[in-house]
Amino acid sequence: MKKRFLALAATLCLLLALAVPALAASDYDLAYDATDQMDTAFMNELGYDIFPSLTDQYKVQVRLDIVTDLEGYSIEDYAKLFYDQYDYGYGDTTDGVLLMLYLIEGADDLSFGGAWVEAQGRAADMLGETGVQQLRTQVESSLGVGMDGPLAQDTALVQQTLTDYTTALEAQLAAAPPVAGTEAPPPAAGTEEPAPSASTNGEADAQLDHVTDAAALLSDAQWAELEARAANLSQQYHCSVYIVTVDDYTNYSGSDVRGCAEEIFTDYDLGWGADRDGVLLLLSMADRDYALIAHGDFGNAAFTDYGKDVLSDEFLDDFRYDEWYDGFSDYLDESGDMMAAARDGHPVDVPGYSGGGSSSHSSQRITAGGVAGCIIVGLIVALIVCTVFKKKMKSAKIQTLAEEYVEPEGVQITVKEDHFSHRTVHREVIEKRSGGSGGTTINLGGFSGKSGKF
Amino acid sequence: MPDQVTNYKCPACTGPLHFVGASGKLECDYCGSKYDVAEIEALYAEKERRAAEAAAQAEEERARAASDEEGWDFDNLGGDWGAEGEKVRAYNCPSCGAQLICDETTAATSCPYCGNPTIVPGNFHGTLKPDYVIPFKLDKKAAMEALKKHYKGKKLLPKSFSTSNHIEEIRGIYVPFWLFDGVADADVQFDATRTHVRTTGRERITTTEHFMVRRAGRVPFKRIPVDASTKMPDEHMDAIEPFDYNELKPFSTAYLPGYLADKYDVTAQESAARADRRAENTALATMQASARVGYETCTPIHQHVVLRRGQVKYALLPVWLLNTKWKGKDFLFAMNGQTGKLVGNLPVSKGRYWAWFGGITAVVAAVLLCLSIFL
Repeated sequence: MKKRFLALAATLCLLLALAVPALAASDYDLAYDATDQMDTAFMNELGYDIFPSLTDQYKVQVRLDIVTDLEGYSIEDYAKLFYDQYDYGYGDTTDGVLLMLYLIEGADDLSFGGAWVEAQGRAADMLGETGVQQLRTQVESSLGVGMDGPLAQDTALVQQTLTDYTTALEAQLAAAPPVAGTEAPPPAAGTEEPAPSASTNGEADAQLDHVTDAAALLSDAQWAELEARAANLSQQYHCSVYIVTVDDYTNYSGSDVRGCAEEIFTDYDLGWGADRDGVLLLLSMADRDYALIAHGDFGNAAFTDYGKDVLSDEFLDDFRYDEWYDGFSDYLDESGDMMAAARDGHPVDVPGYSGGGSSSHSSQRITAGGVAGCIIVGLIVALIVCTVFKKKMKSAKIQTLAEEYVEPEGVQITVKEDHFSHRTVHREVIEKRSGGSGGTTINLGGFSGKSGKF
Repeated sequence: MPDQVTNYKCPACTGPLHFVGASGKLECDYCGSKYDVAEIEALYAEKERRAAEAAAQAEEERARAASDEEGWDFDNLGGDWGAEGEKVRAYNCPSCGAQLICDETTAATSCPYCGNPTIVPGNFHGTLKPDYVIPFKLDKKAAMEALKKHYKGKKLLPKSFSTSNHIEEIRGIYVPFWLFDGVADADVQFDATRTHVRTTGRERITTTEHFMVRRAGRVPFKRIPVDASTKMPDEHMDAIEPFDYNELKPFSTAYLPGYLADKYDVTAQESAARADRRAENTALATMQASARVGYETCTPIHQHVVLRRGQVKYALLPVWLLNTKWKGKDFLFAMNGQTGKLVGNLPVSKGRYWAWFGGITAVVAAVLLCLSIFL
């Protein structure tokens, strides 16, 4: 009991010690003030009310970070660093706009160090480069010349600048043309809701149907049914779902089957919205090759590396027996489950996911490779342990050292020289990972995928 | 060589020869070969001549080394036995050539090395009287207990080894050692590194700082032991170290009763190389330990060690030797007669080895499979 109490007390003290530096700055949900000098009520309204309201209305996250130390970065790099490291963006996307203010703390005042507006994803499309530049110039103009007074005057100026910035930002977002994928405005009273048209269809540019059966594996009725289901899924999750069958993928591409799938996706403008979110299953009948690829922030987040393994297990069982319709049906059902899970913030990424629909891929999914891996690890551990046992059987060995015979008081280090010689720097690009739990390997083209035989 | 009863051995099979009056020749008991007496005597005379030449050459080399200023200091090494020599008996083993001494009250009934019971008394010819001795502290019973303890916990030991083997012989023997003093001056240069890793949004930046590090110093040694008997396996004698030199006493025959003492048959000059190697390695290790503080890697790129060799002393140190036989093979165990540390190689049961291997593989694989299912 005493030990538990002491452990709890020690933990609380440690947490408090670590929290002290954080408490020096103030966090207001979507607004952050490292100076802790802005009016609390003003910042609360900004961070908990105004910015979240704009975020929900325009589906782009609106944020403010006031910093006092750029840690050697330029303000542009620092803003991008914040954006990436703290996963800013609306939902699982990176759609958002961040205003970073760099204020230099003096003895009794603040000075303006710089400002940057970082817009990404849909927000960048809505504001455009010109709009972003206008917002930034507005802030710089306001703070660049006026911050030479006492602290109270400086903080008041900053708050006024932020108010003006917020107003200008809202005006720009409201005036922005609708970007593909944004919801259509609600219909006026008394009118019927218009049918989805090309202007609200995020895949309007796509040059292929959701199901392209060049290999003639499906009947007309089967094709129609799968096409309708794929279209509904795409519309529901704003992530296009495609099926493509060909006789021989080499007729379309000089690359491998996965490369061919990526080329088809790109060449035919597939995918939903500006990010081209989508998933595509390609079957090539000549050598029974398949490729399963995903694209876009949401597409890669929903279809993680592990998720693609789960998804492919669903349809490969059917394809092995040439049950094409069943396999495609399972593919659509499972894709819908995965997109639903991703929308809920829990993409299929680790064992233990159990989705609804036609599949019950519980955590008891063991592949032959997994069993082999477990056995190999067991062999390695057994080899190490038995080697240790065997070494214990031999205790007679030649000594190569004489440490027991050193006179410790007589040991003298007479020369101690440490000279810096040179420095080497190695830079390694980190492969971008998306998804809440970070389980998707994405190539430079923005695709993730796998391929194999069926 | 002391005067002794000579057993003529058959040149063909080394079996014992005996004179057959009827044929007037020496006949082998084992293979039946027959030789003229003159022929065998001439053969043995040639052997003795070569042995004498080798002894004379060794004596010359010893004298030369003693006058070398850079070599070990043998000036204060041992001494004459004087009156004490009259209380010492010597024994020779015609089978393995061991030369043993013991107190006049102790009778040697068998060779502690090879078990030959036909050990023959000889005249005592002590070249050197030992400088030091560490008396036996542990008795034969403690040696047996230590051996039983040595078997425990050995997962791969054949069951029949610990149950059916029996100790053929236990002998307490004072083993001759050369004790080397000296100082090693080492000068070593290292390439050392420190690494920092920083991650930005898209890059992992690894910065490695390289340093040239130099350490030089002196490391004094006292009494590095090297066993001076060819009969005693070097691995066993090294492994039972260290002895507690606090109990090192000036030599006296009073410590001999009940125990045998081996005469050295490896000279100090011949043993010196082993002491040199241990001193050098330890000096380098000391410099490296000093250099690597504060660095992640520390690689020697240039090293230089000069040994300033000091005195050499001759000591007898206590060892219990235990011989056991199992399935026709001999197993030798040696126990430090002062500290009780016991060493000796044990047989490995292949059946047990593969049983453990398979069992561990199965258990680990099963655990991993369960974890992958339920986590």
